[in-house]
Amino acid sequence: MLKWGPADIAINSDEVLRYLGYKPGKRISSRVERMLEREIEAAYRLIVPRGYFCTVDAPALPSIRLFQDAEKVAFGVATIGSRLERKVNALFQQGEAARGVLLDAVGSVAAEAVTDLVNREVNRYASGLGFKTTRRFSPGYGPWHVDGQHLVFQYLGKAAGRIGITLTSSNLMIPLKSVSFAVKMGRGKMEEINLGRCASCSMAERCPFRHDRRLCTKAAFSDSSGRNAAVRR
Amino acid sequence: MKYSWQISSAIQAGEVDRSRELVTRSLREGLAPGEILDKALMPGMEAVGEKFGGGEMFLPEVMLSASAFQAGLEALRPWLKADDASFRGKIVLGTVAGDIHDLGKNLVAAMFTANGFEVIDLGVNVPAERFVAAVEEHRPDLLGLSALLTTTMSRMPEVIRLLQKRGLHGDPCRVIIGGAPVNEEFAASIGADLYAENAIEAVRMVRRLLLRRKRGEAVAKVGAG
Repeated sequence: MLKWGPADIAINSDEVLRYLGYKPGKRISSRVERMLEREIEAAYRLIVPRGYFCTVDAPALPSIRLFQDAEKVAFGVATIGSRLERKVNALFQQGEAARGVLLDAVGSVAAEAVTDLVNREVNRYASGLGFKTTRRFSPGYGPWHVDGQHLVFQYLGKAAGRIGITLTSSNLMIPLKSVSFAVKMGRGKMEEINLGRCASCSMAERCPFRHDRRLCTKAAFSDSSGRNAAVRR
Repeated sequence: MKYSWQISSAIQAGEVDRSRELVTRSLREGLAPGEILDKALMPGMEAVGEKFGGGEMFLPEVMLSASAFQAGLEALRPWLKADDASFRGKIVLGTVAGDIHDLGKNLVAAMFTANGFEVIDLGVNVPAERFVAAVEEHRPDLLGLSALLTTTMSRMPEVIRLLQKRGLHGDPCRVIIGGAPVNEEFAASIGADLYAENAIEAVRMVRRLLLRRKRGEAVAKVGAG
């Protein structure tokens, strides 16, 4: 199990604003800025950053095209726990919707930040084996159907439960502010997943992440009926 | 109208106390409550909707504006005419079974509350039977269904079918759906009455529907609102 203290997690306010749709570089009102600072401070008292990863020999995996060019695959999971989302709900109940919206976005950014730390451990491990790594990609995003959660959780085994993450029958993780992912490891050339997939994404038109060439974190997939649909954390 | 610009500005700036004070002052000076609503409060919130749609305002500011609107409306409410149906609606809402995402549903609930509606929030992971039981118990004007996943939006038609089976769909209870994977086409295909892309749009459509109903006009189908 990977454990960190709240202070190890860098919650970037620009990232939170971008998550909320604000354009980079655009000035925000001093009021929202102050509110955001307060919610970031509050978040540090609410988050419990935990993570875990395991690796699997790629040939042992079911024949999924996504992993064909890898030698090993790391499956990882990260969470900030459930206290923050309980607080978000309480804020809405108290009629403090603006604060609720801000704290929810702070939680999403914090969850990604914990995932970055787990990802860094994966890269360190891979590097020790002389492997290169791809960027991480998650079930339900880009070309990987959300059913991929079963595969990830099958390999994570009981470790996911030990850090407090459970998978529901509809493939959702509890706490909601959790991220599961895969990273391909190998010595040869490996295809990056989720890059250049905007054309097939149903959220492309209104996606706030589209313009800064980052890896997609708010993407879409096609289900068995071919219908495009979005999944958002 | 005197104060209309100031009230509208207070709402757009999300100034709760100022909105309440200005409405109270307008009433004290003898301005007609209906006029304060139509010429000051509503244009303020409409401007917020337009700015949100145009990418000039974002969710935190919109929710602050909703609070300012609510404060003004509460100050006005005792003087509004009893037949002003568009501010006296009741909505039951929740996220469908299998889905535990609550942010979108919470935003819609907050926006309806701010607009004077009675909101019965059933929470997340709500089975069809519970939606229908709540409709039977509360007799709302609207049932709102939310889903964030393609895997869970398929639970929406189940709720509508059960509602129809019990003879509860149709006036007074219409169904509105929302959430990232759903759209107007899907709404029409499952027999929902309305689809809204966001919380502001949801309130706007519902208010229009209630006004039509009050005037005895035919209720709009999805897409015609």
